[in-house]
Amino acid sequence: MGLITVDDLGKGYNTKEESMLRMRRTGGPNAAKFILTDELARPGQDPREELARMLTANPQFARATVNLFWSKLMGVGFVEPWDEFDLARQDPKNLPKGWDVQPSHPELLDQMAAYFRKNNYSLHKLFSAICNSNAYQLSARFPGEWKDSYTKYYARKYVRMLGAEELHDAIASATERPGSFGGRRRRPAAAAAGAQAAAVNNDDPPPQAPVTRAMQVTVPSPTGELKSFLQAFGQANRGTPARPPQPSPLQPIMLIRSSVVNDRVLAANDSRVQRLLDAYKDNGKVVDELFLGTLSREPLPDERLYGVFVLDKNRKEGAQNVQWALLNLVEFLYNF
Amino acid sequence: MLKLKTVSDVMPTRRDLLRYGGMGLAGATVGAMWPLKVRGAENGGKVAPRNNARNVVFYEISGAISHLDTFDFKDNPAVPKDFQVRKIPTGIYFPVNFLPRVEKIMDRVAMVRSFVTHEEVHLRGQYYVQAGRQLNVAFAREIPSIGTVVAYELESRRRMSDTFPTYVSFNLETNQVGALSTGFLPPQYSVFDLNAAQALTGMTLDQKASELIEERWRVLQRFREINRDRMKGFGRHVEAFEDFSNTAKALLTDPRWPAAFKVSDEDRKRYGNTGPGLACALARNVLREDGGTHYVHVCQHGWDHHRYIWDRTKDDNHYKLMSDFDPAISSLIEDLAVTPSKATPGKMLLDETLVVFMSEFGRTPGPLNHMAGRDHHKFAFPAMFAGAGVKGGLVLGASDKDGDKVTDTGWNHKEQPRIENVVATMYSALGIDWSKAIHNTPSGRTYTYVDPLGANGFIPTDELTGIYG
Repeated sequence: MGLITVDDLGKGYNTKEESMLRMRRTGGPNAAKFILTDELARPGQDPREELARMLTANPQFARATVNLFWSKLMGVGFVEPWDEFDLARQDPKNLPKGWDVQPSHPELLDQMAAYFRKNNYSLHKLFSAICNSNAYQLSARFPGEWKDSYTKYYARKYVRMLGAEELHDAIASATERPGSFGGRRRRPAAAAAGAQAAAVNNDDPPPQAPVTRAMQVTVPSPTGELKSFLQAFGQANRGTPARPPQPSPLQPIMLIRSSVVNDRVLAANDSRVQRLLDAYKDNGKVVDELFLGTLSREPLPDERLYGVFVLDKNRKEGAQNVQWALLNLVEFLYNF
Repeated sequence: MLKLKTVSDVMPTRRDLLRYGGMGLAGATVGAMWPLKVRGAENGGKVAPRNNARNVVFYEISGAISHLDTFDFKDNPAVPKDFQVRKIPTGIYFPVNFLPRVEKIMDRVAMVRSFVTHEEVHLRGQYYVQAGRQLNVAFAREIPSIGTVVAYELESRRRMSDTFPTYVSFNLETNQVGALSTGFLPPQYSVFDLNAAQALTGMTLDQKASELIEERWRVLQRFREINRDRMKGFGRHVEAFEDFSNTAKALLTDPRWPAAFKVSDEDRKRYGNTGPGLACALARNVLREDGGTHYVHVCQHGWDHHRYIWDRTKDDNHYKLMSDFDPAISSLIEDLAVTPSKATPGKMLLDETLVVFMSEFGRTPGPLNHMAGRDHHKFAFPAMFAGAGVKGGLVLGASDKDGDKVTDTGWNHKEQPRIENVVATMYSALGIDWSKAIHNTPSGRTYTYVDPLGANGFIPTDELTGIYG
């Protein structure tokens, strides 16, 4: 009994068979090979560890990782899309006839992959190297007329919209109204001890703390408005291949309409807006703080003037509306 | 004649953006990677589109319905005892007990029972249904969905008063591929995918909410004005997002939009208070309002009955899904048939709307598998068509006595029809020349509107003319 092959030209489905989708078991051993090298797992070793060893030992591992994070940080990868390496087109000295080398900057990619390996595959070191580079620190503003053909030279910082998780967390952090993703339930005893720690340092939740940031979610399972919001901005779905964020008018609709934004701008439930109103009598100070907390800058004189005018008319609603408007500005929604 | 287009021709102008849509920044870097020239439609003109429909509704029975227990009924050892299979007036055997209302609309439906597909797993199969071609992961990112191509093609027909997106989908996010991107086409043509149940509350505004939005909008506009100069020089995409957002506000405050998202209690009863039911009611509403939507994709996911297909104790058993499907699709067709078209006086919406419903493949015939279910089967499955002049009651093509292999392809080709031919049929109905191709896509490949290359060689790219009688 061999494998049943099914194709358009074959005999098709035998209605007497139990199922054509389940592979016949022949009883013999089935040795797994590493896809890039056909290397077999060493006998007696844990196949998972063997896979990890082969994967990281392959030069492509460092190159692909570097390209992934370069493309996330810079906006455009050396190989674009970042997960579409053509392995036959990587070595400039050994190319198939008639083909170009695939990466836009093959030497830089190699150097960075070497740096990544040398630093024991430290993502921290890699991020630091990219973010400290002149290329990354270029202004997003381009003097003169931009041409699409300049793109591959990284002649400016490429502006990008925040992803679903980033955006959710940025809104939560600007308004100091954390999200709620359920997930890990706290044991009652750990809860009391954990609550204090969580309040002090949001970056480092204790292992049993509830999930408050979209970034921390391993298996997306939000429902209702939160789900609609995250999906409109291209929430990662770990079950199927990554979906690139889908620009659509749903995004501004969500920003205008969704409770993910609107509940958070309310001066209630110990939100930042509420605490600012409680803490400062001076409306100008409230406006300053709203700008600092949302856009990380002080308001321009005109903005301050208008903000104060809005708050003077109706202090509470005005503050809410200013907070809402700031969250809807391109300056907040994009990474410059 | 060779018509040269530059990318900026394809990109929306500022005015277009104000009319609808725009560029999100996610598309910015991809857009920037485009080659400078997109050669338009040089080799179209080989076919004559029918142009018999203003709208298309595609109802995806996702996960794959058991064709041999429904539309292509075959007597099999597993037929449940409570199935009342009867010969209905259109001459086919039908489980009237479980699709009672669909049976009543079968006189409006033309069936083609001879489909075959390349794919036998859901992700690829559902991609195939949405993109009209096989999934090729190497350049999937540049492939637009069918609805996006429709939106791109119908852009020139949009009226100034149109605020609705051309391509709206319901519950696409529930299937395995989700809503596909616009590929190499501008994000302006993207799908507007809504969860039907959530959209009912999420898209309507009461008086108070409307006033609040207007007030907040004034604050936002003032901040934008102050920053106008500061925000210059970041590229056209940043400017475009504001237009994009203006469009969203215009849509939210267009009285037709909230009107489309009102579903009465009576409708909930008729369509079913379920995902597919609400989606069909909303599809009807969106078309009724005539706000610019012309392609609607409704997805009912969950028909993957590998196990316990006839076990009523299981959540998503076949009975349950049929009971969701039956009122949803039949109410849609019944209502379109009696809803007057706003655009064409004297016509009903169904006269100018082509409705298609089908799965990505069929299910294995014969006895059930060892888990009391049916697996995937790609060699024979049906597609149903209604509206826009389709001749009701037609039954084209046939499968053998088990529902395993096709014995009659149902048209003048020896090859069985495929999704590609449904795509051609829908494009033709909308007046889109489906022999067109776009060259010099980012990968350098040619994008054909209907892909002539099947898994085992060339396939017919004809539309299914037989459904019109």
